[in-house]
This record gives sequence, structure tokens and C-alpha cells, in this order.
Amino acid sequence: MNTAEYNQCVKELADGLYRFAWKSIGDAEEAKDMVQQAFTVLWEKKEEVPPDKGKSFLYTVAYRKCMDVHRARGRTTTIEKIQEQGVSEPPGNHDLKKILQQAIATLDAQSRNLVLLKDYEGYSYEEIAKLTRLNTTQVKVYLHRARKTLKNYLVNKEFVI
Amino acid sequence: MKIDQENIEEYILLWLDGELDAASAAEVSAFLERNESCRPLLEAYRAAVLPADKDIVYPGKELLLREEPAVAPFRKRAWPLRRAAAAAVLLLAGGMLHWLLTADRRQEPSPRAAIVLQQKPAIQPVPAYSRPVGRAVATASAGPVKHMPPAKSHNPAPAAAGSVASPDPGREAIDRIPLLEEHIVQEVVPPPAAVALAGDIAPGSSLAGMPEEQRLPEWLPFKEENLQGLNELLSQIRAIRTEVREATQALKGSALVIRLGDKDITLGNKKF
Repeated sequence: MNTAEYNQCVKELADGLYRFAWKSIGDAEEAKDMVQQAFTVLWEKKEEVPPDKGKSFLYTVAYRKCMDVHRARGRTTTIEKIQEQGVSEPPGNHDLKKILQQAIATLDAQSRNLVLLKDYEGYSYEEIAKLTRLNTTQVKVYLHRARKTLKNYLVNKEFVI
Repeated sequence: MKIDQENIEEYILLWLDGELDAASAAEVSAFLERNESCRPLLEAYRAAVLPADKDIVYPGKELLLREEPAVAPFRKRAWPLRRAAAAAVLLLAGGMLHWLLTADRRQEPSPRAAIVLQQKPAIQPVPAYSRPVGRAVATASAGPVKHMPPAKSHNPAPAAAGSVASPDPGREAIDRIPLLEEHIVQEVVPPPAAVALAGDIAPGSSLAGMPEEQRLPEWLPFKEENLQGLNELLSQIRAIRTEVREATQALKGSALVIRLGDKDITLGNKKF
């Protein structure tokens, strides 16, 4: 990957990577630093990364950093905090996007990241397995379990769908 | 693949995630068409899919960009051809320049011929106060001039009294030295070119009568007048160089014949 291809990665992937990191760790500033770190790693290893592998490289780095953040801060604290916010501020029917954000916050870090990779970036099970170092069956199980949790969250809160 | 009420949820999830092939997707769709009770489940899972949030953009994207190296103005593939063409032009120009610079050297007469053009005698008597040249002259002029008694010569001519004729130019020069009846030891005369350099001959005068064939051709982009001074200087330098060389050779092979009565003594020769 040369400099032009690296810059093309910045232009095309920075926003998606930032959304993924923000939704994964729930902090915009921390997500911004994480994106910067991911692109720094890509720049340092650009000679080894083919141009068509730039996206998967960046998301692999971001995924691992997100998991590090979750392990460092303690998963339950953040989720409980977000859950409390969701309960205290019941969303209206018109704000489905906000409801979903609260629902996704109830997931564990692993499942949340898998859902984000699937829904935001459209990766297949096999591609997600490569990014996360899981096998395809694990990805399928985690994803289906997360979908059921999200569906149950929405149904139990009696949100109109 | 058999789809029923028990596994339809699994197939709905695979269908929404795009993990089914076209045939399986069509089969799931047909099953849901036949079983309306499963449609709320499909809608619930559809609602659980996160929509892409395009409103979120990275704020400092330009800070992540890196400066790209300057692009070369020429294509890489064009360089070898251009270089080869430039090298060919340079070689051709160099060859032509060399030919032009050496053209006058090929056509000009030899330094000896230049001497003839000057119409100066090859050997001239030199005054006694002049600078001595060579070993034999040094020896002869160091002391007072010795007058040899007139010889009662049986020799018919002075030249015949010299040594045997030799193809060596130095030897010829010596042979042309007249053994004067006064028996004065003569000095070897410096070459005319050196005399010219000393001011006896005006610079360039030896080339004034340069033959027409030695002049530059009309088609050359140089004017004769512009090159005349340079050519004159070069010719003088060459003439001086050649004359010095010949004088050196003549001195090395020179001989001085002194006649003592009927006996000839040759100095500076191996025969001595």
C-alpha cells in the first residue's frame, strides 16, 4: 500500500471505523483516539498491507482495541450505566434509532462488536470470524444470541415495531 | 433443507444476515408466505437490525492524511528511450567536434615544410655572443676561438671531408656545416621556429602563405578570420615542438669533425 492508497483508506473508512468504535465503547473522544491509533498502525505497516486488505486490517485493529478497552474498564459497569439511562429515559415510539442504541448497550462487548460489524459494515460470518479470530460457528451463535436479545429487548419494552 | 415452525427462527436470522443462497432464501420466503403466524417474528428481527448511522463522521479526517510524494513529470517508460536519444546526440556531436578540431592537423604541412615556407636557411651562423647550444658547441665556445692552420687538403670539397652520408637528419645537418677554410668551429644554429618565437618573425607570418587546401571548407559554421589566430598559435607551437625534438636528436647524433693535417677527428660520434 502506498501513500495514495493509504489516504484513500482514510477518506473511505475513517467515518465507518469511528462509528464502529463509538458504538462499541460508547465514548466519542475515546473512539476518536482509537481511530487515530488504528490509522497510525496502518501507516507504519503500509508496506506489508495490500491495498485491498486495508479495511479488514483497520477493523481488526479497532476490534482488538475495543476489546482491550472493555476489558480495562469492566464490561458490567458500562452496560449497567447505559441500561440505567435507558430505563430512566424511556424513548418514544418515534425514536427507534435511540431505542436500538440502548438495546445494543445491553449486549456484552463480544456480541455487540459482532452486531456492529455485521449491520454497519455488512461483513459475512466468515469475514467476521477472520477479524475476531473466532470460527464461523462461534460468530453465528454469538450473532443469533445477540439478535434474540435485541428482539426481546424491543418486545419486552413494548415498543411498537 | 426442511423448514418448519421449529427452525424458522434460525432461517429468518440467516436470511436477514444474508447468509443464505438464492434457493434457500426463496424457500424461506415461500414458507413465510404460507405461514402468516411467523411474520411478526420476521418483523421483530428486522427491527433489531441496526441501521447505518451516516450522521456520525470522523471530525479530524484531514489530520490522518499523509503527504503524497511528488509525481515525476515523465513516465518511467519514456526515460530509457530519451536517454538513449540524448546519448546518441552527444556522441555524434562529440565526434563531429573532434573531427573539426583535428582537420587542420591532418591537412597542414609538417613543421619542416613550415620551415621551408619561412624561407629561412636551416642553419645560420650564430654570433659568438649567442647562447651556446649543445655539448659540442659549449665545448667550442667556452674558450677562445681557435684558428686552425689552413689545411693542405687533398680533399676536393669541404663536404666530402665530412663523415659518410647518413639518412639521419641530424647527420645531414652536420654534413651541411661547412668546414671553413678558416677552421672556425661553428655552433649549431637554433631552429628558425625558435627564432620566430624570439621575435625575429612576426606571429602568424609563417601561416600567411597557407595553401588554399589548408583553409576551412565553406560549409563549416566557422569563419576563417575567427580561427586564424588560433590556428597560427597552434601551428607555431607545433613547429617549435618539432624543431626542438629534431634539434635534440641532431645533437645526440651530431659529430664535429676536426681535421688535423690529413687526419679527421670526429667528436660526439660513436665512431670516435
